[in-house]
Formats: sequence, structure tokens, C-alpha cells
Amino acid sequence: MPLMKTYCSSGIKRIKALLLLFVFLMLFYGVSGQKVYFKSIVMPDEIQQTSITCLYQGGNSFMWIGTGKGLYRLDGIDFVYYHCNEKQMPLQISALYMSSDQILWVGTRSGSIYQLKGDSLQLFSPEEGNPKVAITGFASDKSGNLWFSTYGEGVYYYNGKHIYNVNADDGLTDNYCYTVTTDIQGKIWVATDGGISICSIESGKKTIRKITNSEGLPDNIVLSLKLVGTDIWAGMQDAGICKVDLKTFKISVPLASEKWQYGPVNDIVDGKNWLWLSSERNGIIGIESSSGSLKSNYASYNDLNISRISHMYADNQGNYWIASGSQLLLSLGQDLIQLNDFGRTTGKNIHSLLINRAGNIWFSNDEGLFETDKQGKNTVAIKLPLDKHTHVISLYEDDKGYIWAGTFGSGLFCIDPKSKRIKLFGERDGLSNGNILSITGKGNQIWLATLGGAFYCIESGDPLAGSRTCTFVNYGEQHFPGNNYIYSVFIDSHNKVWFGTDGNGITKLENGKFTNFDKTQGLKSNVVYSITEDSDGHIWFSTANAGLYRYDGKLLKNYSGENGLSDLHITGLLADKCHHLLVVHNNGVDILDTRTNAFVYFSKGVGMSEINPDLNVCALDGNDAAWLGTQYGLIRLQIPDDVSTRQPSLKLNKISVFLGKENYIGTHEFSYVQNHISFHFNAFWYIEPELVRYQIRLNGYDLDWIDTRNTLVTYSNLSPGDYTFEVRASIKGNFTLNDVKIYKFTIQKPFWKSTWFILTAIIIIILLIYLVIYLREKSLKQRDAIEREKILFQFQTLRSQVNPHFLFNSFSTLISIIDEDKEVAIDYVEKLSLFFRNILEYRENDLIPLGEELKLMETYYYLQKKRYGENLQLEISVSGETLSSHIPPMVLQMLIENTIKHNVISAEKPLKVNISADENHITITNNLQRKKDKEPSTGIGITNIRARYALLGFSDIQLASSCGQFTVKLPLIYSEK
Amino acid sequence: MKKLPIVFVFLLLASVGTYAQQMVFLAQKSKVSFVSDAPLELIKASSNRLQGAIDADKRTFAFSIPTDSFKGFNSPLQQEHFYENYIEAKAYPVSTFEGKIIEQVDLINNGSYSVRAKGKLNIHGVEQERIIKVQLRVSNGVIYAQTDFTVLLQDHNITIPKVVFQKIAEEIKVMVEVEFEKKK
Repeated sequence: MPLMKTYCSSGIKRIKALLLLFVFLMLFYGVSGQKVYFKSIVMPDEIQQTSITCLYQGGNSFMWIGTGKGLYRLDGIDFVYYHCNEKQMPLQISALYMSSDQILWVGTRSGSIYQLKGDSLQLFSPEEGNPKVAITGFASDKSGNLWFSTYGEGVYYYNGKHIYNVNADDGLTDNYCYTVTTDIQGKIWVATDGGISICSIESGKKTIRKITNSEGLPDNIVLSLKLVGTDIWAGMQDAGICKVDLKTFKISVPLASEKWQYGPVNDIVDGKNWLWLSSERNGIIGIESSSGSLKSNYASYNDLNISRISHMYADNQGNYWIASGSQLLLSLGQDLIQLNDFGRTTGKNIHSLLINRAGNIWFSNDEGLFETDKQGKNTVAIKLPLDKHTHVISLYEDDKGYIWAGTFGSGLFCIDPKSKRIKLFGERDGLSNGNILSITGKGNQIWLATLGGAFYCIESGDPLAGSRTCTFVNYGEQHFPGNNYIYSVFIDSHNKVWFGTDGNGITKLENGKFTNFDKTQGLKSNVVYSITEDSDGHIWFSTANAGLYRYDGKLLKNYSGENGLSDLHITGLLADKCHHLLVVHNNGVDILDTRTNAFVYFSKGVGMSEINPDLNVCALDGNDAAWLGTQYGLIRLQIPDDVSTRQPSLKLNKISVFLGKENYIGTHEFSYVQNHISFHFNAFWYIEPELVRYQIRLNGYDLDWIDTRNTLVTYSNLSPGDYTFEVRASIKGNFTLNDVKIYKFTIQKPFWKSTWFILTAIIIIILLIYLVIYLREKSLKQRDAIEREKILFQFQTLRSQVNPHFLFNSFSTLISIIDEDKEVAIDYVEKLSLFFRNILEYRENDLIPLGEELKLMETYYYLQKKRYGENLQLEISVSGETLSSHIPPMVLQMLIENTIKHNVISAEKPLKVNISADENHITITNNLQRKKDKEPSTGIGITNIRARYALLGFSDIQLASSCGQFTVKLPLIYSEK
Repeated sequence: MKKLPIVFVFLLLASVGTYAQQMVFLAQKSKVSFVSDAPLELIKASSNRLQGAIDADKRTFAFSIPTDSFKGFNSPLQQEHFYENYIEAKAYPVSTFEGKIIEQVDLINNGSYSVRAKGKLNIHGVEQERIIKVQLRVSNGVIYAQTDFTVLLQDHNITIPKVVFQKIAEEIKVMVEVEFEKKK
């Protein structure tokens, strides 16, 4: 770990290394003119000056970046800062690790350990407490224990319940540990100041094996460890690197370490056939793993000093991440290098390129023709008798190993690569056109594409011997009518010769017969620049601005931008043995897997912008690398063996509702109020993240795929139903090949739309309607009953009042009064008529005020009084509020009439009737003196009164006879009740 | 039998070394209690018979407690079960913890320290290496130590009959408070 480095390097060692630095820089420039592409990643403003301490890619997706000021997550474009709940200050991150349960473990300089849970870092607080010194690394052993190394307290392991310590007291080589790693047996290797300790826990017993000086370790201060294949490589303070065999524990020191001059090795990264070392003072060092020899060294990038590399990391996409101070760089390492310094020549503006069978590179530029080796060292200039404006533009190696070089205007040269003897072929050899754009051949045939048609010759023995070794035959105007410019000539595996023409499309020569494919066969362009054949025997050719064609012997298929080509200005085609087609264009290379149609792009993101290659200036070497000649020099690109799978890895990270914090991934049922759903997804393509495109579709909502560059999509107001969210990602827009992430979910219906609710509601409504109807029926019946009762009552009252007996009595009384007092008689008749008028008036009413009733009562009493005199006494004691209460009409009159009817009224036994009222009742009391011969009942009476009260809703009519008193108690009705 | 812990401590002290005697702190007052919080039964007991010493110079320590010194059980029956069936006090009369403090702490100076004691915990005759987090307070030559930790019964081969497994927690919480004074 870089942070701790200063503690352990002694002053003397440092001085020594500084002295060596000068020597080293000289070496660097002498070693090679190779340049590796570095991409600088711009860090967020707040950590521009903060050192990057560790890098980790979790689950093939996000890149986690530990810095001196906290933890960041990078999806390629955006940085996300992860804060810690307990602390306000940013953490000083010193180690990162994702355990198999997908928990990110974060170690800090202070010794605290955090776990990433949800969106925040949570302090890992076991019963045993956290270390007090910096955490320097994490690893998991075969039993699933999580190990972490510390700088000063040895190592710890956590078994899920408890934390245990292994330190010098237990036999650890030293308590100052730099890193931990796991070997293939699941044992833990610890790099310490005192050597390497290999720890394992067997049923609670610690076993430690030491590898130190005495075991042959060149340097006891081990800073880095890396499992490569089955071996562990160790990076040391002073002695470079060494390899430890896991079976024999034999230590071998590679060539490169024998006289190590590059300072402490902070980190080791496995780069397939390479080991990349992070050196403390001399940048990135590349070691070829098979030979163990130092091959490359990069201590600067543009004007940036990257001599101090603290950490490197290899992601799942073939990228190397490099942390140098506060700089974060991305590189393809040795997979993409540029050679533009060949000592004798700059290597700019390459016009032709050939890699011969010996593995040497032949290229021409404005300065001439050169032969060099793959490192660009030992460059030899091939002197050709050309003026300085004439360049070699085509190169070919025949099957005898002679190099053929075609010039632009000055004929064809044949070169013996060993003796460097040269022979020029020109008009006297039948070569009537000296502009040779392309050369190919097979066996002893040589084919040329020129601006004057195609030429063909058969070599007879050594082409350099004698005078007329080759006589060229021209296929001109008659075979390429109109325009006999030929851009390229190609011989396929069936010995058919193909010509790419300027205006005649592509022409095939088979058994002496020419067949032409042009616009009449469906080509979109008649200009064909490059031709090649893939490993499945299909012919591929590129056209001017109309993309690429594939000819399978029967059909032509066009490939253009829609199929994934990033640039239609194709300048060259290459096909390797593993069904890859390399399409070279102005902005890099598209690599097509011809079986799966998947593309991988190397373009601006890896520095290949406006490389401007000349036509057909590209070649394959024997190690599956493609070489391009560009205006900046040679580019060597290792063809990835995983074109079909090297695609952006897509991840659906989060599902949020109303853009809330909670992550709903795993929830497939949402309630009707959770109908505002957002999907957060990311496709990871670190080398050119800005190229990533997405397509999304919500089945059940969207009809078709929607293109987007956003990594978030929100669907609002989703109506209840079943949905399937789909997302896919692609680099250039050819989505059909890429995985689709699918998420099914349901938005539930609101409860009032659910079947049970609707059914219940219908039943309730039916019941309510039934109830209303029933109640209305009932009240109508009741009203009918009241009406009927009232009519009956009126009839009966009338009948009672016109009772002849009453009239007879009244008239008898009247007769007797007339004689006595005329005035009184008139009064009597008036009262009688008033009485009958009142009866007529009130009979319609259900209720009348008590006062009115009492007046009627008094009238009646007056009439009776005339007859009975003092024998009938009525006393009314009702006043105040109660007079405004109501009672059914003529109830009191009827009761008095009843009383008169059924009781003896005489001077000896006067009938005393008393009417009194309290708040709620009126009470009629009389002294009980029943007649012996009962008058026939009129049927009116208590029964009738009871019935009328009942219809009005009152039932408490009380009758009582006691102590010679008869009492009727009737309720009073207040209108507001 | 009861003298064994004392012998144990003195043996440890002897191993700690006599030349640095002024740096040795001895446990004076102590309280060790444990809780087994099982679904069916809560067992709680405590002892004040912890003995032990810390060598502040070497940061080593040794403690011992007689296993039959725990008091305060719910019932005599519970106590009997504890001693005879689980801790087997006759066969394993003491529980010990000895080791070294991980942190480079100076126990001469007054102050509060959070340290981790790494050592071998011997309960029921089974030794387990443990790290125990301890709060130390040093005040004028007196060290107050306070800690709580858990003991997994399984770690110490204390087997619980199936019938009573709901009565004894698999994890026992142990609370310790000790006061040390410098040895004179």
C-alpha cells in the first residue's frame, strides 16, 4: 500500500534509487519507441488533489475508487460519493474488497472497517473492536473467513461471528503487513516487512509457513502479492519481483529482477502474457511472464509524470486502471501500442505495410522503405532508386520470401531480404503502368492492381536473376471497361482472383472467366477498395461510402452503420483465422465476429482519432495482432479473443418509487399508489463510456424500444396491470446481439376496483335500496292507517257529537233556559254552534295546541254545566309553556264526555274533573262513581285515543283507578320534537 | 482445589518476570457476571473471585476464576445443573484468560483507553483464542477495567441436552469489572 511506503524504506536505499533514476531514463528511451495509450480520467473537483489509494471492480460492474477523501463509485461517466453515517469527515480509504456475498468491505487508514449497505457506509463493529492501525488488504480463505491485513497489528480473520488475530507472537513474519491474497488452495499469503507468511486455519489452529531470506527470498520487505496462474508473484522493496511455486515453494527470480533498478514494486497486475508492475519511482513496468524479461516501461504520459504508481487494477473488459498520485489512468496495456520512433525514421505517414514470415515489419513512409523488428528496434533502410517524391505504396512477400514493393509511378521492385539486392520491373517487363496499388500472389503467380488495369506474371525461379524473369500480362480495358483503375487484388482460398475497381464494382476471375458484381447486382457503390476472405470462406469487400459487403458464393449482404459499423470510410480489411474481420477506418478499427455479428470498437476512446490510414495499409502478424499504418506511425492492436462477449455489461441497479431512496429490486408487486416507478441501470464500458446507448421498453406501456442515453427512466401514473421492463445496451446501436435485462412487475388494482370490493358494494347497494323501499312502504302504510283512523275518528266524533242524546239533552237545557233568561239562551245557542264549528274545524288536524283544546273543552263544559249545574265541576290548572304543546284534537272533550257518560252526577255526588299538566303530560282526574245502568258505549274512548297516539308514535297512555279516583295521563307533544 | 487459581496466577506472575515487578498490577476488586438469555429461562450469576495480573511493561496479562464461585442463580436446582452438567466445575475448576494487549498502550499514565486483549480463553477445559475489547481507565496507579464479551458454548465443547436447549442460550454474555492496583 502506497501510504505506508515511506515508513519502511531506509534513507540510504532512497539515495541509491535516485542515482539510478538517470540511468533508467536513458534506458527507457533506448528501450523502445513504443507508446501505450493512456486515458486520463477526470476526477471530481473535490478530490482533484487527493491521492487515489485503491481500486476495485465489484461484480463486473461498478469501479470503486478509494481515495484519501472517501469512497467513490464510477460507472464510467459519473462519480458517486459514498458517505459514512457515523462520521462527517471523509474516510481515508486504504483497502477495498467485495466478498462473495456482494458486500463491499472498506478499510481505512485509521483501522476502522466499513461495509457498504444500501447507499451508505456502515461501521463494521464486531465485539472485538476494530484495529487501530491502517487496513492494508482483504482476502477470503477457502473456509470463507475474511482476512484483513494491517500495518502494525498483523492480520485478522473474521469467521462471521468473531475476529481473531494473527501476529508476530503467533509466528507471523512481521506485524507490518502490506497486503493479503489467496492462493489456489485457499490459503492466505501475507506480505510483511519480514517476508511472506502463508496462513491457514484448520479447526481453529493457526498454521503459518514463512518465506523469508533464509528460504531464498531476495528481499524480506514484500509489498505486493499476486496470484498468476498457479504461482504467486511477490513484489519487493528493493529486489524487484520473484515467483513462488505453490507446490515446492521454490523461489525463482526473473531476469528482469536480477539487477533491479526500478525501486519498490507496489502492485502487480496479471495482464495475460504480461505482468504489469506498479513501481514507486519508475512508473509502470511491463514484464513478459514467460521469459521474465523486462519489455516495457512507462513513466510519463503526455506531460504527466506517472513515475509513482501506487496501485493498478485489471477490470473485466481488458482495461488496466492505474492510480498515480491523484491521477487515474486507463490503458489497454500491451494490447494497443503505437510505434512512431524507429531511430532512423519517425514512422509517420505510413504508405505501405508488410509483416513477413520471419516476423519482421516492412513499411514505407515519405522517407523511404524500412525493415524493422516488432519492437521497432534494429531498423534498416532499404535503398531504392527513387526520387524523394515517389513512395512505395504496396508491399508483398512471395512464397520464396522475396519482398515485392510497388511504387506510385515508378514501377515494381523485387527485394531479396537477406542480401538486400534489388531489381526493378517496368515497361520492358510488360508492366505498362507503374502505379502499383496492390500486390498479391500465390505459388509463383504475382498479381498487381494498377491504375492501368491488373497485371499478372509467373515467376520463373529467382526473380532477381537474369534479365527477364517475369513477363507481366495486362488485363486492361477489355476486362474493366470504362475505367481500369484497380484498387486491390486478392486471391481467395479457391484460387479465384478478385479485383476491387474504381467504377466497375468487384470483378472475379475464375478459370479464365471474368464475372462482375456492380450496381446491377445490387451494390450501392461501384467503387471497391479492399477485399479479404474470412476463416469461413466468405469474401468481404469494402466500398466507397456504402459500407461492407459479404459474399457467401451466392448472396451479397451489405453491412453499414445499422449493422454496427462505426465509420463507412473504410480503408482496409483484415480477416484472422478465428472468424474476426477487422475493418480499418479513419477513426480506428471495428472488429466484427463474422459468426455472431458482434462488434468491438477501438476508436477515439483509445486514442485512434483521425489516424488517417492509407488504403490497405494494414497487416496481421503471427500473434493475432493487427498492425495499422497511420499518419502517426504504426499501431499494433491485439485482436481480443472474446469479441462476442466483450460487450458492455448491463446491470439493473435500483428500482425506486417516487424517486425515493429505497431500492425495490426484488419487489414485483406494487400497490396502486406506488405507480411512479423509476429504473436505474448501467452498462459498463470503461474505455469509451460515452458511446454506450440504451434501449428501453416497458411491455404493457411502450409499443416499441425507446432509445436513450440516460441511465434512469421513470414511469409515472402507471395504471394497474402487468408490466415487463426491458433494457439493453450497446456501444454503437446494434442492440439485437446484446442481453436484455428483464424485470416483471405488477401494479395492483386499487381496492375499490377489486372484484371482491365491487361484489360487496353491489350487495350493499341492493340491500340499501331494499331497505329504503321497505321503509317507504312501511311509512306509507302507516300514513294510510293514520288517515283511515282519522276518518274513522272524525266520523265517530261527528256521530258522537250529533248523538241524539246529546242534542236532546242540549235542547232540553235550552228550552229551560229560554223561559228563564233569553240572554243566556242566546249565549247557549252561540256556544253550541261554536262547539260544533270547532269540531268541524279541528277534525282535519292531527294535532292542535293544548290551549285551543282547552278552549274547546271549556265550551263543552259550558254546555254541560247548563245541564248539570254545580253537580259537574271542572277545574283546569294548566298554564305557561305547556299551553303551546300539542295534543290530538278533541281528546280532552272525549274523555270528559266519557266521564259524564259513565259516572253518576248528582247534588249529593257531584262529579269533579280536574285537568292538570306537567311538562310532558296532561292528567285528567275524576272521582269515580260509576252508574249502575251503563249507557251503551259509542266505541269512542280510550281505545280510540290510544290508537291515535300510537300512530303519532306515542304509547305511554296511563290509566289508573285508585282511591276512588280515575286518572288518565296523556303525553304532551311538542312540535319541535 | 480452591487454591488452584491462586497457584495459577502466581505461576503466571513468575513467568512474567520478577525484575519488572513494579510494573505488575494485581486484581483487587472484581465482579464477573454472565447472562444466558434463552427463550425459556434467564440464567444470571456472578462471582467476585476473579484473580489476575497485568504486566504493564510487556502488556501481558493473566486471569483466573474458580468456576464454582458463581452465585445468584434463580434456584439451587439451576445452580446445580450449571455446575454439574454444563460447566462441570469439578472437572474444570478454573476458567482462565491469558495473553497480550494488542495496542501499544502505556498503563502508567492516567487516562482512558480502549484496548483489545488477545489471548487464550480457557473455559470447560477448552482453550480458544479470543480478542476481547476492554475499556481501561488508569487513575493514579489504579487501573479500572471493564468489558463484556460473548462465549459460544459450542466453542468450548459445552453441550446442551436437547431437552433444555431452549433454557440455555448458545451464546453466553459475560460482563467483567476489575480494579487493579500496582503490586507493592
